[in-house]
Amino acid sequence: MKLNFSVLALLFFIGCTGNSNRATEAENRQAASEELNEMDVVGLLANADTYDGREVLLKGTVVHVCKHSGKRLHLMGADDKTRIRIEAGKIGQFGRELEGSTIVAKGIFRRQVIDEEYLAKWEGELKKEGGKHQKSRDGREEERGKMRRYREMMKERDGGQIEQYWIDGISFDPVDEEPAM
Amino acid sequence: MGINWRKLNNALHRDVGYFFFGMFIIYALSGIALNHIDDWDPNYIIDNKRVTVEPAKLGPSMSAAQVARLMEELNVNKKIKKHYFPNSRTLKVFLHGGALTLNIRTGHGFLETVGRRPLFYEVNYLHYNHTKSLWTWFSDIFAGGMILLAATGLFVLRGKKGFKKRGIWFVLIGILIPLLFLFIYL
Repeated sequence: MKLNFSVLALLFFIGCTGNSNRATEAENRQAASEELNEMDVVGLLANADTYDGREVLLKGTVVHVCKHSGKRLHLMGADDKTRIRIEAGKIGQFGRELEGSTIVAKGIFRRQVIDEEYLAKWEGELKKEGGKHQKSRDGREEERGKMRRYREMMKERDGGQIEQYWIDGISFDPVDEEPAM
Repeated sequence: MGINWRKLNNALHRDVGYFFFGMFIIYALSGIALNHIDDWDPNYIIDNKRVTVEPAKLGPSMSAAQVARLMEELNVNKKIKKHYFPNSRTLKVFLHGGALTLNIRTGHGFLETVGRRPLFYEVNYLHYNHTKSLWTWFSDIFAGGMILLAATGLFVLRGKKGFKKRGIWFVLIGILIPLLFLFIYL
């Protein structure tokens, strides 16, 4: 009896001490985030070049949470039109209750330019045998379908390229606001 | 003085079993919920109801007060979070616990109410490890505990109902069944 509980207690202790480093990291992140200024989606996308790869603090309304997995949401800016996707990443999952709520989300802003060079590289990786992301036949067909759609979109754009933006989420906080009515 | 392995085995099986009883229930319930993920939403109870509103009461820009009156007429007693127009034809009203989507030209739409599925929401939250905290360690320890329980369980009984005479057949069948599914479907 004593031995059983001693073993369990030891295992718990190992788990607890392993967590103390994570607490310190969280404090450091909190301190760093206090230096960030809250932005709106519109302002962020207007300065996409400046913020590419940087940590940002974004305030907006959640207009959609992925119903299947909760792994991403769409955040809308104050203009009620402009949106950006936020990937849950380290957050884990977004609850459906967030739809319609205003949140402040922290994450890394990502920008991807999709042009012919990008698509050619993508196609090359798909053709490689034994590649790191070996895909099934269906998977490859699906990706080729995406490439076709991107090419169609590119034809409609001046400059022949598309820019995709998203945020790799780190954390978020709901904002307490008075209900509309 | 040697260790009484059988006594230790049975004591571990008993006490680890007692300790992790709650975790077994959590993961078993969550496992059932996730196993049927194609048949239901394991986390939320969702209801959709068709609604119709006179188009004259709708417009491409509506104030919060107008939207609130609309909700009263539809007998929707949930608080409004926000409303907006995703496009020129649609009004979307976010509610606490749902949303209303209306075509402002025809007046047709649907009211979706969303509520957490009691008990299942909580067990799924733990099973998915959304806390990303000390829970990760505790659930890993539970996984180790399950393996320990399985292994010690083989040797609790002796004699004609023990592992060598009876248990081994159940163990073999229990291993063959998942192997068969892998063979067929993988």
